[in-house]
This record gives sequence, C-alpha cells and structure tokens, in this order.
Amino acid sequence: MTRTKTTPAEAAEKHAAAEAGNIRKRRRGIYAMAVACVGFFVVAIGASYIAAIVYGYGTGFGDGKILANRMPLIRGKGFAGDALLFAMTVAIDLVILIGWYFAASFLDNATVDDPIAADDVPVDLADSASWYAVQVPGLTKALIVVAWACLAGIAIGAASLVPVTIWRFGPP
Amino acid sequence: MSATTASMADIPEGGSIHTVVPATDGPAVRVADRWLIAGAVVCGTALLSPIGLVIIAIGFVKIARARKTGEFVRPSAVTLFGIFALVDAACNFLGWSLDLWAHDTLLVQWSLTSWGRFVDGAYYLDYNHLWAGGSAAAGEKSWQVFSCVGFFPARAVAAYGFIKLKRWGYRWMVITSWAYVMLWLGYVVNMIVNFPDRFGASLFGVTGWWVFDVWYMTPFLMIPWLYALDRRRWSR
Repeated sequence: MTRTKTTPAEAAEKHAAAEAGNIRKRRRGIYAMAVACVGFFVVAIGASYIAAIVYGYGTGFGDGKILANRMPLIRGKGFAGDALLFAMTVAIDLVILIGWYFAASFLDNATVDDPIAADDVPVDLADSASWYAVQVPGLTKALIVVAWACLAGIAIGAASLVPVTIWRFGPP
Repeated sequence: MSATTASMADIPEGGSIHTVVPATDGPAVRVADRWLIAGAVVCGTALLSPIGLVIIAIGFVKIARARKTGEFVRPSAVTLFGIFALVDAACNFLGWSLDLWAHDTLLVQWSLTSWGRFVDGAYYLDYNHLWAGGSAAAGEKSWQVFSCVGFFPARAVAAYGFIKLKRWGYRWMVITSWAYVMLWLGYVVNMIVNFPDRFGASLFGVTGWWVFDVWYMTPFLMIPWLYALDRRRWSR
C-alpha cells in the first residue's frame, strides 16, 4: 500500500474545512441552546401551574392563603444589636467574595500549558464582529433587548418590595 | 469568520485602531467601570435599585464618551451582559445572605416575612424556628448556603473578571452560567415539590413568584451568547 503525500496546500484546505465544520456545529449548538432556554421556562412555568391546579389553587394568583397562625412574632435585637448583625453580614460577605476572587484569578491565569491563542490576522477590535467566533448578530440584538428588560424588571421588583409591604402589611 | 480584519497599513500612527486588547484599561474606561460596578452594587441593595440603574446608565454614557476619544473600549454587549450578571448576583447574594446571617434583625424579619406572605411561604412559615434561623424550609436553607457561600459570590467575581476582559473572567462566566442553570432547575423543583408550603401559602402564589423572579434568567440569556464569543479577546 502506497501512502500519498499531502501537500501544504491540501493540508491547509483540510484544516480550513474542519474549522468551518466546527464553527457550523457551534452555531447550531448556540441556536439549540437558545431554544432550550426558552423551553426551560415554558416547562418550569407550566409545571408550576399544573401543580397549582393539582392542589386546587386555580391560577395561583390571588387564590393562595396566608397561614397566619404560623407567622412568627417579629422583633429585632435593638438598634445596636441589629446594626452589629448587619455589619457582620457585610464583613462575612466580603470575606467570601475575596476568597472566590483569589480562587478564580489565581487558578485560571494563562500559563505555559494553557496559553492564549493569537489572532491569525490583525483585527480591528472597534468592530464588534471581531469579538465573535460565531457571528449571531440577530440573536445578540434580541438578547440585548431581553437583558435590558430583565435589568429593569429586577430593579423595579426589588425596589417595590418595601413600599408594597408598607401598603399591605404596615411598617415594622 | 466575517470579522473585519485590519491590515497594518490601515492603522494610523499612534492611532485609534486597536488590534490587540491592551494589558490595562485607559483612564476614561476605568472611571466608567467604577460607575458601572458601583451601580451594580447599589442595585444589589434592592431598595435603592432604581438609583443603581441610573448610576449604571451614567457608566454607559461615560463608556460611550471614552469610545469617541479613541480609547480602547470593549463592545457594549460585553459591558451590558457583564453588568447584568453582576446586578443579578448582587441582588441574590445580598438578599439571601441577609436571611442566612442577619435573620434576627427587625428589618430583615419584617421585609422577608412580607416577601414570604406575598409569594413564597417558606419566608414566613415558622420563620426563625430552626437552629439555623431564617427560613425554616430545609430545602430553602440548603439552597441559601449553596448560593451565599458558593455560587453568587463566585458569579459576582466572574462578572467583574468578564468585564475587565480577564481570561479567568470568561471561563468563570461560563462555569457559573452552567451552575446557575442547575440552580434554577433544582430551585424550581424544590418550589413545586413543596407547593403547599411555598406558592400555596402566599397571596400571589405561582403568578406572583414568576412575575417577580423571571427577570433573574441571566444564565439562560448568557450561555448561547458566551459560546458565540471569540474567547481570545479575554486575554488579560
């Protein structure tokens, strides 16, 4: 059996074809993940409503009930005690954050066994396309709109808790 | 790959075309990043989150100005998704750590038991009755410890590293995005399995909980997008 020699041009062609195939696979994976993510919420929200129906709660909105006998008596530790507990919480959180910062930044730095690949050709980083290995501008735009909506939703939801509580249950 | 390539002849002398990510950010970007991160932290306080959003918006304006001066600036989408992940992590980290460590304070008992009565019974039923304090739902307490000691601080750190274009920032963003998907999966199952004591023992139940919580869908937005990125840009 004779082995044919591969010329550098053929090798480059093969490499380019393999690379294009890999990018195609990644693009498919990206869109499949996007669909799966929407699917997760459809299934999760659907399952919540199915549970509501099974337990006889209807739509689950406004037909739940507060079990007042299991509501605890609310009392703090006095101004100084509460302030100390809040300060301790902030301190503990900071220590945990610093711990994770060191874990992530020390363990995953670029090293000789795991270098950062260089670009094959110079790219203009001001062009946002140069930041993507797989070009998905439509998906990116859609995700940006959803991300802004989510940021607003988080802010409005979080900020509304205290005023809504005062309105519904009164001040502490 | 259809990204614009720049030939060396295109690059002006000392000019504004950046072909590699510089080792550090320029002064204008550093200032803008301080605004963005401060805004995310203020958002994390929950009560002041609309003010946090305004601070974040100022950060975005400053980033846009830095771009006009020719300073190296990452794409807006990178900033937005990084800050979104940071705000999400800050809100969850702070909220859950208050229940975990500060459950004996008047404000935390008042606000969390109100939250519980609105949408999630685990936050008022027998509140502070277990030795660990706070929510008395055993499943919820285990998610809290996972989230406060492990997951959300790691996510916040990852988001910071991501917007600073650290190589470890990109990697940890991917790792924590998958972990967040697992958290969502386990958490929703826990909620549904304990339906009578969670959704069922609250005023607004299923609909109320989802209206409040669906906005924390960060990982589901980020995973497809993260895999579209060219990870060579996270080279610091």
